[in-house]
Amino acid sequence: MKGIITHIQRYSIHDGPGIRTVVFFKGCPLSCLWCCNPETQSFEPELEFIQSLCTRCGRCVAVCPENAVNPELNCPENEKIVRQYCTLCGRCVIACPTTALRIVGEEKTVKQVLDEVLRDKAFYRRSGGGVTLSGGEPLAQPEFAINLIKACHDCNLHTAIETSGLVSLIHLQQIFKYTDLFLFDIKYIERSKHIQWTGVSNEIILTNLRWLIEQNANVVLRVPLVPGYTTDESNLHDLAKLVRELKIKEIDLMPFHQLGRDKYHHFGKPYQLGELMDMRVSNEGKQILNQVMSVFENCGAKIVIGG
Amino acid sequence: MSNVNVQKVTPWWVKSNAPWQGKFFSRMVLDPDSPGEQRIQRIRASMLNYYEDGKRRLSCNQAIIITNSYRETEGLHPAIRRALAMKKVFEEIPIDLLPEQLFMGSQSSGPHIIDFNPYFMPYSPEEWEASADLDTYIDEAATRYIFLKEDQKAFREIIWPYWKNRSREVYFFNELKMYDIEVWNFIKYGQAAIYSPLIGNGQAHTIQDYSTFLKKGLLIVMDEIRERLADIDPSNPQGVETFERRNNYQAMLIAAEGLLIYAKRNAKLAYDLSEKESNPQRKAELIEMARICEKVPAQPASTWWEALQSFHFLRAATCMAESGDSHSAGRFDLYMLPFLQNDLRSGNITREKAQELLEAFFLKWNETRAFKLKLSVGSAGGSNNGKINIGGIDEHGNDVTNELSYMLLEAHAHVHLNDPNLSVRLHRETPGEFLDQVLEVIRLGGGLPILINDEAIIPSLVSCVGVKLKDARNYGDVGCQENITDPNFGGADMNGRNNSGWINLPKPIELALFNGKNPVNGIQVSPQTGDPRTFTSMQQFLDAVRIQIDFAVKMNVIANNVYDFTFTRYYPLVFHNLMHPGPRSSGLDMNAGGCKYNSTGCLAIGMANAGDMLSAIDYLIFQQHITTWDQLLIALENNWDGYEDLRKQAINAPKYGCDDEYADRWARYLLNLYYDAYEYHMTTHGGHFVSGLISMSNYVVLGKQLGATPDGRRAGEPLADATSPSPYAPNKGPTAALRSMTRAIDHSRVPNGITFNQRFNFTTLATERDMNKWSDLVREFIESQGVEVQYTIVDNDILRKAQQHPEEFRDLFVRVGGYSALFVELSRETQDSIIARHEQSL
Repeated sequence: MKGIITHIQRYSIHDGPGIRTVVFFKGCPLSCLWCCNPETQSFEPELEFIQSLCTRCGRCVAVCPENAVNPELNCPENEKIVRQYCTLCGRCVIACPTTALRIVGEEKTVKQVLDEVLRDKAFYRRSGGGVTLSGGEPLAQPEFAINLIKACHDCNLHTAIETSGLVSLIHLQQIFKYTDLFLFDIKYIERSKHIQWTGVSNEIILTNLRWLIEQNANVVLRVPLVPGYTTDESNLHDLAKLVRELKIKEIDLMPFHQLGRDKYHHFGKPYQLGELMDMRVSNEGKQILNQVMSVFENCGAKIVIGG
Repeated sequence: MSNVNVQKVTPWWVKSNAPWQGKFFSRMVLDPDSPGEQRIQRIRASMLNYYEDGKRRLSCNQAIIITNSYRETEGLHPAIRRALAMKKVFEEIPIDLLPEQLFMGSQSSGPHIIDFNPYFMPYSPEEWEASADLDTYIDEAATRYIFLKEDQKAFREIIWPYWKNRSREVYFFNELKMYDIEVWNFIKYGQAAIYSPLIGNGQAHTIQDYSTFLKKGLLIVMDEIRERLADIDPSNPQGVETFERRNNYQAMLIAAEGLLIYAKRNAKLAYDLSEKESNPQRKAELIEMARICEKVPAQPASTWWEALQSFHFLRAATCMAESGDSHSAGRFDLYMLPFLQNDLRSGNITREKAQELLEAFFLKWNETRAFKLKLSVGSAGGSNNGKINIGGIDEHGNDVTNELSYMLLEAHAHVHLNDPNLSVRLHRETPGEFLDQVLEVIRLGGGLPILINDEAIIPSLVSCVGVKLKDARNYGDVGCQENITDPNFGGADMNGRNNSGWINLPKPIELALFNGKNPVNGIQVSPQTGDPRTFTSMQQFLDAVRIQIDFAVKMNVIANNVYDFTFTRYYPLVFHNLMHPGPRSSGLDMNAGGCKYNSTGCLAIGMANAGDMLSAIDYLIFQQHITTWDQLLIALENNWDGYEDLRKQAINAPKYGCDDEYADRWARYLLNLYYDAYEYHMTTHGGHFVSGLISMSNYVVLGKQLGATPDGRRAGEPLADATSPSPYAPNKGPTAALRSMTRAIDHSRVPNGITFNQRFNFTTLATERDMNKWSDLVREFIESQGVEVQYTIVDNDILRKAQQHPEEFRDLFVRVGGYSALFVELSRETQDSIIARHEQSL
């Protein structure tokens, strides 16, 4: 059985305790406006073009059988590939003398992923780290995710999963016994805004969260702070209320950063938040962060900025 | 409260917005607002112009004095001639003092001035054969330094005419040309090594026996030498050696007398300055400094100030008399500790004052640099590279971390210049608190201290150099990371001769590809080992590679042994002999085997490329049958032009550095060939040759001397730096690189050290949690017996450099939770925003 993975990142230090390896799954049931890994939304492999590595040699144009490569060598980055013609045959990738063109999303077996993950065993042991499934939504490939996390668990690894929460309860129940830590994303409490900005409703997400809490699962809430969207007063208070009610022990506040912007261009996807401030840089962003923190001050949970 | 100068100075860490937070900073002894620290920052600020590659003055003062002396000492033994010249320098060289400094003495005519010893002339073999053009030297010197007209005139009229045919290089080259023409030609045309360490350079990379002089004083040491001299019986000699010995003893005495005079001159200068000083506090300081210079190094040191001053005189005198870089302290935090503790206990000094003195002492190491012409391209930076070791285990295996260890770290954090270079010795039981605080200091940026591993280095000295365990446990490192024993412990000195040349590891493989003909210049430089087109197995090629490696190594060995011989024969190491217990007691020149332990170490560059070349050949031709020898060789000869597809395949072949066993084993195989080849040979001064893997920036220079290579590299491109993966290797992060490094490098066979560079963006180290993870990474490094690691904390200068040269920075990750990207793959705009963020918030 195989899963489709975009990347396996070793020495990850912001995705759970200790030194970890993060396995990024491709495919997600949400399509959040602020997603910083847009290449993980679709379940299919995609072609990435990185203009900063392009030498303008034009070989990609020459070899493409579908005329899917823009012959204008200096065209904008997000117009390089004519997506509706591209069949992902990969000829341009082979022809490219650098790594400016590559296909993101590769099929891997559980064993292949596990072998890679096990390489850093000594580091996990020493630092209390392990493996984190992320993406995308790991449980959108439920069979693969469950088998993978069970295999890791059977090797005595500490396991964590970063999840959107929009998963079927059955799968959550199956994975639960092999998962040491849930990094659970909550974007917005009020339903209609949630649909507007993520494309889906949040009832199932909230139900799943409550189920996990009832089972005494180890849950860390992850809140993306997107100015003008998730950071309005009412949402913050709703979240704080939820945290108090469920006695959540830790929340990670993830300040919005613009590092994902380039990836939209690489994959020819429209990006709506291109003008939004990077919270970590702008003074206004820091003020917002302070306001947010004051709302969560007495909610009973440990607050971590950035994860 | 008031000091000499009440101008308040913003400390460097505030100006640079450095992360001045953590446990270490809250336990610091000297407050930034204290008068003591303010003084240090003022002196530092005044030095910055020169320090940051502002030009220093190149002076001929010392060279003129030496030339005049040599003119008057014809007919005397070479050791005596050197000693008399040294003494004359001590007597006549100008002396000076920076405002507010607390220590007297320099290794040149004074702060910000560079002097040189003219008997080490920096002309290459080709230049010497072509009767080097004087104007070239003067022009080059004038671009690197402030070279005043009167100094140029002196060089042209006094120094050059005398030394051009008398320098050590002349003897060295003549000997090679007469007996070793094969070596001579290989040096010129083989491009298998850079010989700059042997040209225009004194004997570098040593640790002095400070503790004997601090405990006994120079006068008593001189008495001991006189006794040995008196024991020499010319009526019943033990051969020629008896007469060599007495000349070496006498030379040491002459040089020592010179140093006594130099100290007295500095005492007088301090007195004279005190007479003119109106500020009472400064006046008192100068009077105390004068008193100290009257006392040391002649007498034993009692106070902390005296000990530091004595140390400084001895070290500065070594640098001035012997040239060469990296005259180092060894285990300073052990043998200097009693002076600190006694002074504190007796109430003679406060801890704050002790720290201030240590920092002023650190500043002295930066007042000037060793003279480097012709070496400039490859050895970037031009620091003195004098090293101090901190921490580690003692001869019984117990950890030695103490208060002075922490004071040294604090001195570095406050002074934060290139010198002294600092190595922290780590081991399995390194205290957690100490390691945490070391990392907080590294996080400030600048790459220091570097981290070296007792668990790896001690076994290497025992197995490759035959060092006794007790002595090996007291090792210190010198230069970039070359490991030798420390004479301050049991008198166990070592002549490591730690740079036999910068060795081009891929070159012999290239020569095996082209049957001994160097493709860069078309010359047949080495034995014919067959046209690979006739090879039907990888083993046949490896046999050819082995022959080429053995040959290249042998050429380097011979060159170094001849160098040792001509060096000791014509320019014995008088001051080094004085400062090393072995030669001092036996009278045998250090380069004639006077030290207890001996070896000569190479510094080999390009291991990633060399390993990857073998990996690619095996993979492409013999495993996957993607190409043939013929195709590959033609592609290389054409620098891959017209063979882009094949080049891509070559780039995608397994590479060292990304935790790929197949590739790492090729790197290991290749290195074993080198270790075997070097270890087989003996040196002139004793012991065998050993290996090290350090490059400084010579990976750029050597890359220019190599054609296109099977790992996908194009002709002239830089090699990989030291033990880092090549830029063509996929980047799997620091844990993968660490695993590859420990897999490929046999720690017990590289006593001459390695450097292993890991770069971290500050975002990886921002919180305490992040720092704990870093500490865990380092602990794993210790456990897996990595030899050395140094952490470059990426600052905006580096990020801007990465924007200009992305190919050199493919290891820079931007690590934010739930996200991953390589910095060099981000758009310019995003990169700029990251830089902007750095600038603002930390």
